[in-house]
Amino acid sequence: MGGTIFDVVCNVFQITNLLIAAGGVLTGIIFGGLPGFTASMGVAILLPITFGMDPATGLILLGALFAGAMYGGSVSAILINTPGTPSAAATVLDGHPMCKKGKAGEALREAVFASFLGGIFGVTVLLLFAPPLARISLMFGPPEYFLLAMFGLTIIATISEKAVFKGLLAGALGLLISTIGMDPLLGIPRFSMGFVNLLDGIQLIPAMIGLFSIPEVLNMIHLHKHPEETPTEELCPDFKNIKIGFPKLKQIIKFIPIYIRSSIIGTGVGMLPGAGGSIASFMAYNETKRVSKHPELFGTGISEGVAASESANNAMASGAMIPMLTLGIPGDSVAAIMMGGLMVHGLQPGAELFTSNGHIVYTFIISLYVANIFMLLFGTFFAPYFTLATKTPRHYLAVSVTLLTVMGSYALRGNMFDVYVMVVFGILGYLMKSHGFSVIPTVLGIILGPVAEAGLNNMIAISTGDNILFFLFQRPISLILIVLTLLSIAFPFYRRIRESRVAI
Amino acid sequence: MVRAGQERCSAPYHEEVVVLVIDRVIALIALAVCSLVYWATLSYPPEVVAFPKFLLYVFGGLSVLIFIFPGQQKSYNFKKIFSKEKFLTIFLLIGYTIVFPIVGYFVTTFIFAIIYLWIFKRQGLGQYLIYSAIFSALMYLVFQKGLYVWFPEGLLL
Repeated sequence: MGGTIFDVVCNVFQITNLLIAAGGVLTGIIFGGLPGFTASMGVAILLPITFGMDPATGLILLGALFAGAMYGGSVSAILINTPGTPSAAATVLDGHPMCKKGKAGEALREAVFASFLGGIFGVTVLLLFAPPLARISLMFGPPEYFLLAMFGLTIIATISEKAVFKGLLAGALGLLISTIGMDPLLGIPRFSMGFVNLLDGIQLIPAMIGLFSIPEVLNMIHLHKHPEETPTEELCPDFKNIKIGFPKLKQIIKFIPIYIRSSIIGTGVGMLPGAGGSIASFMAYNETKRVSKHPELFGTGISEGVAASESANNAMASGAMIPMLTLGIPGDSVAAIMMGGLMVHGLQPGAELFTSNGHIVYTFIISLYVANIFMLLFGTFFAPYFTLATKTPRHYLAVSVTLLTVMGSYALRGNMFDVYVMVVFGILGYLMKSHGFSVIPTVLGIILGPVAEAGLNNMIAISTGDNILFFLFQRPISLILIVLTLLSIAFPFYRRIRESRVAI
Repeated sequence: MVRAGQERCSAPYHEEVVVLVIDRVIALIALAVCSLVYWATLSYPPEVVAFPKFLLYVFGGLSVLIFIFPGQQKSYNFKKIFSKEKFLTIFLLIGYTIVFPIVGYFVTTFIFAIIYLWIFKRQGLGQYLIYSAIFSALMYLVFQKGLYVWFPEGLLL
């Protein structure tokens, strides 16, 4: 064990891995700071670069990028009143008013320090809770895996979406897409429409690149042509003279309850599939305001608001990894893409990941501490300069991303067919998003489809002769998962009824 | 002359009707896709399509629910959804992916980047040339030299 810990630490502190982590954080901060670029888009288009890397190094890059992007969103939120990522939307509420008061340096200092503490808290929870949770997965049989896939899909489709049926339909579409290719039971080609390239099924990576990146590129182009639809960007008065530095010990001690409470909220929400960073940061912000002695000051430009929001969204990033690494249910869209990255390297989430491939997964987790330290350093010394990236003309960004999506899809197997898959899924993703469908359940459906199908087939085989429902009710974990699935479907309707009663 | 009920045809009411109609059209398209795939499942042995059939029942059921309870989106801005520049971007992307393996990576990428930039902002052709050359070379170095991904050489380069 001692040897393993030593190996993991040595692996993390290899010069290549340190440089990769630093580069990932820096790229993430720039991606996060660019309005219109999301963390999921950044991870999706950079995922193909990890194909040629050692699995641990590839995961270090993606994890660092995610951590950087979560913080990067706050820089543009504070300095130009436009959240770089949806997770930083709550940071705007107090961050930009602070900036207008001439306290931009203080706001940026609080954002980076709170992000750092939230990130460290989330990684610690991931390190402590993921291994025992992964062991629980050993108790799962085929019915539980089938039901877990269904639960993951229903909760991600219903919790974040107001259009519940559309969310569920998007998830069902993803599951249906996953059935294209060779049937796992008899090896008969299914729905391949005569394409040899479809015998292996739809490749997850090009599909994800298309679904996440092309709609954003199209929106970027639209905003470039119609600048009047862009949210007003107001630059701070003291933009050029911002000094950040480290926070004072007195303030750190004063804010400790905020950091802890918000980090707990962030990690908890992150573990819930589909909830995402914006929900985490708004929940933490509201909770901090609720318990504050001066709630009326929130929104006028106070550090507490920035601290709450930023601790929560960075803690969420690690929280989202917990169900992904242990049960194969990603907590958010970035975790879903990272799961695709794991699968490309032949790694399957679950208990085996922590035993047979422990050195990879622990290297990844420990590297997240390093990524957070890099984030603190970069944020402290270079934050105002990151805003200069937001001045890059949108058409340059759009062409760069478009070319990267093509190269990235081609890089997977050196096959043009994957590029065509990316284009088709890009168009599909755009049409879905513009008609009120989220693409996240579709991606999750494509990922979970094979797990669900194998679970269903094996469940039918082992329940010989029994009524399947009766068979499921005899298994406690299955019963819990059925109840959770039904609750996740019922929750949005309950919420709607409650909201309509409040409105009356 | 003001006809009875004309006041109901105000903009918000009109938008509401459009949303209901569009959502129902989406539900009908989903049902049509569902029927087509179900028809395709009939040519396979039952055990091969047990899971897809289960999914098709769910998919069909959800489509019916959207048809019955439409209006889950506030409004549709068709000018924005189907704008000229978005069509142009998709058209360029498709064109690029078709020409790329035939002509070769360098030439296609270089020309595509210039056309793309020029179409969306007609200024600084010199900058566009420099950007396109640097970006194409950078991608070549990262993917072909760094990651050993061999791009198609095609007729030219």
